[in-house]
Amino acid sequence: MTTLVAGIGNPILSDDGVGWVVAKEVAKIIGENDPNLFVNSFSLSGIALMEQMVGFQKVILIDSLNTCKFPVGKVQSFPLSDVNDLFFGHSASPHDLSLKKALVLGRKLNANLPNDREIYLVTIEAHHITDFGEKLTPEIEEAVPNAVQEVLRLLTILN
Amino acid sequence: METSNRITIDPITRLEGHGKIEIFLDSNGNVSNSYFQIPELRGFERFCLGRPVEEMPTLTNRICGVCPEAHHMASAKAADAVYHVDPPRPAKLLRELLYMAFYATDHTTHFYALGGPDFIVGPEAPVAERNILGVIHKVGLEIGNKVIQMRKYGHTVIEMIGGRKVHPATAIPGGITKILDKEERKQIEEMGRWAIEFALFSLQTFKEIVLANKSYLDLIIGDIYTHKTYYMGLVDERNQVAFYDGKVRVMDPTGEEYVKYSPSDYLKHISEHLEPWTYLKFPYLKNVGWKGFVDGKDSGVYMATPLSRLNVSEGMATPRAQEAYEDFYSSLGGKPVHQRLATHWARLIELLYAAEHWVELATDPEITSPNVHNKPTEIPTEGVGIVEAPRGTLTHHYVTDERGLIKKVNLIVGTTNNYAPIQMSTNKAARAFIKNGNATEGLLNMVEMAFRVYDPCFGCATHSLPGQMPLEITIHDDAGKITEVITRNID
Repeated sequence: MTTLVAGIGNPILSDDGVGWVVAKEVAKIIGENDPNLFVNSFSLSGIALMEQMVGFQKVILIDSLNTCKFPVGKVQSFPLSDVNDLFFGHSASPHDLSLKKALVLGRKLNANLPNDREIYLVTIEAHHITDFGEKLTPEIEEAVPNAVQEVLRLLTILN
Repeated sequence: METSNRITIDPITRLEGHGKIEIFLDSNGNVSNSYFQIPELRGFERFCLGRPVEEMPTLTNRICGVCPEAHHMASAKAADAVYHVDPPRPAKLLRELLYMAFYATDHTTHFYALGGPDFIVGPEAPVAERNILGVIHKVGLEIGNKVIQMRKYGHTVIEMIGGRKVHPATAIPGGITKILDKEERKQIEEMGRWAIEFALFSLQTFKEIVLANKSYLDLIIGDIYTHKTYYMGLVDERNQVAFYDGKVRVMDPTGEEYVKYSPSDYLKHISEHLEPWTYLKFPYLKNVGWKGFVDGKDSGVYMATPLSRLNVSEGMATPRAQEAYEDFYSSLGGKPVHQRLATHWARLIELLYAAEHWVELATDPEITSPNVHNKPTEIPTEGVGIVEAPRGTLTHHYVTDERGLIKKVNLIVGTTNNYAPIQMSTNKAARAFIKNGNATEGLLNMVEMAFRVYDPCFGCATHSLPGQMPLEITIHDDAGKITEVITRNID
C-alpha cells in the first residue's frame, strides 16, 4: 500500500505556505526508509493535484484553512468524504476544477485513485493567506509542530 | 426620460473563485449598464521590489497555477533583456520546446474540460451534462483518457526540460540550466507525434459535432457574441503566429495592420484605463485613445486571444495547422473573424501548431547541445519580455539597479488585455436577456458563455461537475435598489 503525504499551498503567500513547511518537517522525521511512503509539496489544485494522487492508496494533504470559525493556528484533520461541498477549499479557484470534482473526473476516467475516505486533510486555520511573504506568521509557526504530530498520528492509524 | 441612479460599488469583498456582475436597470426595466468585477491581486508588482532579477522566472511562476510556464518564459526574456544578453540558440530551442508542450496541455484542458463543452454537448443541454463528462458521453470514453494522456505527456516534457511538472525552474538570464540528453529527446519526439494525432482528432471531432450542426454554427456566427475591435498577437518574421518570440502585431477591426512593435516599445502603444468599481485596469491602445466600452476603429479597446492571434497573422508556421487555418477562414467568410465563439475553434488550430512545432524542435540537431547559457557581462538596467500566454499577450517589464535588484515591475497578464472585451461581451449578453425587469432563465448560461470563450483566469471553474462556477449577478432598479440576486453555488 502506497501513501502520499503532500503539503499544498503557495509558499510565497505567507501562511498559505504552511503545508510545505509541515511536509518538510515530516520528511525530516520519517526519512527515506519506507519505500511505500512518499512526501512532497505542490502548488497545485484541481486536475493537476488529482493527477499527483494517481497510484496511491492513501493520501494526506496538508494545507491552510481559512474559515474564520476557529482560532488561528488550530490544527484539524478529517477525511475528504466528510466534506459535502464540491467547491471546498481554495482549490475551488477560478483557474480550475475543485479537487473533489477533479477526483470525480479522474475516477470516471478509470484513474487509480483513492476514494474520498482515504484522502485526509490536515488543516491549520490561518488568515494571512493572501499576503505576499516567504515566512509564516508567528501563530502559524507555533502550530507547525502540532500539525506534524497530527500527520504522524494519521500515518500510524492509516498504515 | 430614462434615469438611473449612480451607485458607487465598493469592491472590498474579494470573492475568490467567484464572478461578480452588477447590473443596473433603467426605469423601463432594461439594462442601463453592467459591471463585471474582478478582484485580482496586483501585489506582485510590490512584492518583487528588491529581489534579484534572476529570481523572477521562478517567483513569477507562482502568479498563476494554470499558466506558470508563460510567466516563466516572459520573465526569462525580460531578465535576458535586463542583462542585455542573448541566450544561445539551443537554450532558445529548449525554452520553446517546453513552451509548446505547455500550450498543447493547456489548450487541451480548456477545450475539453472547461470551455469546449459549450459546443460539444450543446448550449441547450442540461447544465449537469455541459461538462467533460457530457463530452465523454457524446464522444466516447476514449476521449477522456486521451485528455489525461495529453496532460501527462505535456507535464512530462515540462519536467524533463524545466525540472518540475508544472512550475518550471530552468530559465536564468542568458539561457537555461539543464541540457537534454539523447534518450529524453527521443521520448519527447514520440510524445510530440502522439500530440499531433490527438490535435488532428480534436479538430475532426469539432468539425463533426459542432460545424456540421446548424444550430451551433448559427450560435458561432450570430451577433450576440460578435464585437469588432482591434486584435493583438505575437508574430514571427514572416508574420506567422508565434507563441514564444516575435513582435507584437495589432490589426484594426477591418483587418489592416495598425502597428507592429518590438517588446521594448510596448509603453509607446499601450496605456491602462482605471475604473473605480474594479481592481483590474483596462489596457487600451494609447494612440487610438480610450472611448469607453465600445467597438470600432475609433475605440482603443483590443482583444488578445487565440482568435486574435490568428486574425493578426498571415498564417501558421507548420503545414497541417496552416491547412486548418485556411479552412477556418474560408468557412467563416474571411479575415478578420469577429465572432468571439470562434475562439474555441482557433484554440484547436493552435493546439495542432503547438504539437507540430513540438516535433520540429525535438528533431532539431541542436536540441541536445550542451551550449545552453551565455553568461551575462553587461550592467543590468531594464528589460521587457513578451510571450503569448494561451489567454493573451503577456508582458513582463523590469527595471533594476546596477546590481540587478528589482526597482520596478509592470505586468500585463493575458486576461487583463481582454478585460474590456469581457466587460462588453457580458454587457451585451445581459442586455439581450434582461427585459422589462425580468431576468430570463438563460441569463446565467449566456453570460457564462460570453466570458468563458476568453479562457479567462476566473471562468475556468465553469463546467465543473455537475455545477458551474460560483457566480453572483445582482440587479439594481433605476433607484439603485437591489431587486434580484441570482447566484449559483454560493453559500
